Amino acid sequence: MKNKFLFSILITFCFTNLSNCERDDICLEGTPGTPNLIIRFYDAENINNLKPLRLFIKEMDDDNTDLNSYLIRFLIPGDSVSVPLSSTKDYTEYKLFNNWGTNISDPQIDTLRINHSRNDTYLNRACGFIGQYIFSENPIEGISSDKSWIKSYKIVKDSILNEESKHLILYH
Amino acid sequence: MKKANILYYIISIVYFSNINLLFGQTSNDSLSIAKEKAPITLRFGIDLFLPVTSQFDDNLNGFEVVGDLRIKENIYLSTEFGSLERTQQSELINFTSSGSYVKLGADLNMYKNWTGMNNQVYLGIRLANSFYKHNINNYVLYRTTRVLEEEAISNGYSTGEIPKLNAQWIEFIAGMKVQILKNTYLGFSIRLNRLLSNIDSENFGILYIPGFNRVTDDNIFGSSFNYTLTYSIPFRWKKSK
Repeated sequence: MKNKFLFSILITFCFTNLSNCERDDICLEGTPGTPNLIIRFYDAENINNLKPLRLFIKEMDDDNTDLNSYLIRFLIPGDSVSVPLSSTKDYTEYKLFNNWGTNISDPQIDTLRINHSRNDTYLNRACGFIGQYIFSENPIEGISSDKSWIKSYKIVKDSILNEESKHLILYH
Repeated sequence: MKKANILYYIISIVYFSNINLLFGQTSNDSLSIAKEKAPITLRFGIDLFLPVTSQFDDNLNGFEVVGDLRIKENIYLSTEFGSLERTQQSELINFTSSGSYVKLGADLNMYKNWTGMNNQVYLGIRLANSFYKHNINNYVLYRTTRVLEEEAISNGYSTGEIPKLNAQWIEFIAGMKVQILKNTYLGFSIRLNRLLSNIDSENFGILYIPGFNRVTDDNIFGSSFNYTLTYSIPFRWKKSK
């Protein structure tokens, strides 16, 4: 009889260990995360045509205007780019360099400011929260002045819910 | 996960069939010995594990009071209540759970003591209720592509308190209590918890319930344990003399 006691206790121990080993801490592959902003570049003169460029993007450091303090982010030869938006602020700023490498003495730089708000949705333990961005009323700042190489913009989608297609068009 | 569920199932069957065997055997044995009526014994004490770990772990703060009342030769009415505050980092989320809980139930002693001894090897069952709240301290957004190290969000958005949460569960217990000094017992129990109902928050999952312990995403079982130090006061009702 005592052996049976010990046995049932032993089994309960195994039980406890088993439930400790069972972990659901891995976010399943293919779970869509917080979407990036997808920008495509179109020709300002002929607005239906894509216009590829050699684009170099640097992240703005809030307090510092020194060029060296920018973090090197992307160098994209092409007509589209996907950039993450800020997690902690209601805006995201990027420095956009046009024709990088071809005209170093006279760089064309625009500071693009994207204003947005965000809703975070809880998914599960492993994945945590994902965010969905919504463009604010005045979504884009820092372009279409006389000096800027980006002439205008067009919001294709009001909210950034997924990465299936472009959200923003920049004309240059 | 499915595999674990099947294992739970098999083990539960083994576990409970054992209880049946034990019941069968105790009833046979009791025929041979005529026993003196056992005194009603009130026993109370504290859980040792929580206060000790609270000393070393800044993220944990809690206590648990335990008590039982012997009503029959080998049947005890038992209770635990406690309060717990725990901060933990779960993958991308840092959160604090705090609340209090109460557990009520009974223990069945399976250990045949010699005269004068009062040790216990027992199986028990409890119904438990916890009132608690979560506070999301900070979190990192889940992104599939990470270019830079992500900044944790520590205010605004989904951070903050999620109050008025409530959960009920049932506990199956195996444990023992050993007399170490006169009227003083050291105990250990392990508990299998099965969630019965809970108030869910739309903005956050149930990752932890004070008293229940960790909750997994896709099943309702949990486990916990306690180490207890208890002191007993034996007394007799006058009419039972």
